[in-house]
Amino acid sequence: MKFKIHAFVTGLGFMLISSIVLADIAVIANKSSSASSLSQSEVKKIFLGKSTSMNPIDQAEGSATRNTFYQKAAKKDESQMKAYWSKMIFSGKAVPPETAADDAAVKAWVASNKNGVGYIDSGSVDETVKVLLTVK
Amino acid sequence: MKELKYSLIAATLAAGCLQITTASAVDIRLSGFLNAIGNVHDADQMRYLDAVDDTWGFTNTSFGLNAASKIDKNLSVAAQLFGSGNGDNVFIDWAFATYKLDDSSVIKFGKIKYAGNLYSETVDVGFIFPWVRAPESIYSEAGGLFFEAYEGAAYKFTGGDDIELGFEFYYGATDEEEEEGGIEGRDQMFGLVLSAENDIGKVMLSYNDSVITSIDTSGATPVEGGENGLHSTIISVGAEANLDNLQILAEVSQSELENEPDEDRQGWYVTLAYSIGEWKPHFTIQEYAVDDASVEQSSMTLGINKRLGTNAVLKLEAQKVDDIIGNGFFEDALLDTTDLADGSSVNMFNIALNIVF
Repeated sequence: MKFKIHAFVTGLGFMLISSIVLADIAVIANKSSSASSLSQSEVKKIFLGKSTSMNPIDQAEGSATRNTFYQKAAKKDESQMKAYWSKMIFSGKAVPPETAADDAAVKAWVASNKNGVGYIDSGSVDETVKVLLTVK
Repeated sequence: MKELKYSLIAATLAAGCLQITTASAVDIRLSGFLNAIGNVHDADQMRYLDAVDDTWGFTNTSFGLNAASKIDKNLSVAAQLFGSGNGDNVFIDWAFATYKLDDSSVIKFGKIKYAGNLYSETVDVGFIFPWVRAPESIYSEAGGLFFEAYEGAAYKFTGGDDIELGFEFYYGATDEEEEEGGIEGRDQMFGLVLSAENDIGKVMLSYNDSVITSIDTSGATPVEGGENGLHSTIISVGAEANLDNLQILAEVSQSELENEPDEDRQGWYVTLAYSIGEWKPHFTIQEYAVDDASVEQSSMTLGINKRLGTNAVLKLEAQKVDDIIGNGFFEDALLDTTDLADGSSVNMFNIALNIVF
C-alpha cells in the first residue's frame, strides 16, 4: 500500500514537472498593434536585439518562463543568454530589453505600449493582449 | 601628459552623460565587469606579456564600466571606461555612436573596438570566454596580429534568417603612446570582416590594411630605419562551434610587412571546452612565430571553470609555455639583461574571478 502511494505521488510529481517544462509560451502584443503574427525567427531577432521593428519587454532573470522561452526560441540556456548579452553590451552593439516581474506585469506593459511585444505562459493570456505566436 | 589627457577624456564623458540625463532625459544603461586575476610563473626576473612575473600577485585585475543610451529610434551612443592594476590609468576603451540605416545596416563613428577576431571586441571581458586571458598568440598587441581599437567609422550589414551573414567595412587610424615615449600606430587603415553564424556556430574572415606610424619621443619625427611608413596587412580566420555541451574555438592570423618578408608573423590556437553543469574544463594549444625565427613560442593550457550564479565565474589554469625562442612574450622585468635560453619552458598558473553586473 505504501508502495502504491509512493508511486502515485512520484507519478504526480513527474506530471507536474513535465507540464512546467513543456508549457507553451505565447508571444503577445498590444491589441492595436498592426502586426497580426510573427515567425519564430522574427521573435528571436526582436528579443536578441537584432531587430527593432517592435519594442520588447523581457521577463525577470531567473524566471522559469524566461528560461523556457529562450531555450525554445533561441536554443540558449540561462548562462548562454547571460554570455550573449554580455558580449552585446560590452561591444556596444545592443542592450537587453527592460524586464517586468511576471506574466501580469508583462501583460500590463504590453497593453499600455502600442508597439510593445512580450511573452508569457500561454495559460496567462487574456483579452487585454493579442497573441502573435505560440512557441511550443 | 598621458594622465591629463585621460582625465580630460573621462571628465568629458562624465559631463556628457550628465548632460544627456538632465537635458533630454534619455535612459542611460550602466553595466560593468571585473576581472580579478592572479598569476605566477617560474622564470626568475622575467615578465610575461608585461603582466605576469615570478611572484603571486593580482596586479592584472581590471575593471570596466559601460554606459549606453538610445537617443532616438535610430541613433544610439555607447562608451566604456577601462582600468587595470598593472599601471595603466583609467581610459576610454571605446566610445562611439551608432546610426541605424535600417534593420540590416548600421554605421558607427568614434573610437571603435577592432572586430577582426572572434573575441577582439570583448577581449577585456573575461566572463565571456573560457580562458583567464584570450590566447596571446592572437590577442596580444606584442604579437603584432591584433590591436585594441581604432578611431574612425564602420559600416555593418547583417542579413539572413537561419544563417546570419555579416559584412563590415571600416576605415580609421590608431595611435598608441608608448611607455618609453613616442607614438606607435596604424594610419590610412581599412578593413573587412565577413562572418556567418547560426545557433551552433560562427565562422569569420577578416582583412586589415594599414600604414605603420612610428614617431619618436619628440612627437614629431618618424623613427629612422624603423617600420614607419611601411605597409602592413593582417588576415585572420576564426571558427566557433557549440555542439550541445562541447565548445570548439579556433583562430589563425598572419601579418605581413611591406619589403620585410622576415617580419611576417603567424599565430594560431585551438580550444576545446566541455560544460558539465556549472563546471567547464577546457584545453588550449597555441603557437606564435616570426618568420625570421627571432621570436617563437608554443603553449598548452589546461583549465577548469566553475560558474558562480549567473553573473560570475571562477577560473583556474595551468599553462606550460614551450620552445621559447628570443624570449617569446617574456622580457627582463628589471635590467633588460637576462634572456631565457632558446628552447626553454616556463610553467604558469592563473586564477581569475570574472564578474559582470
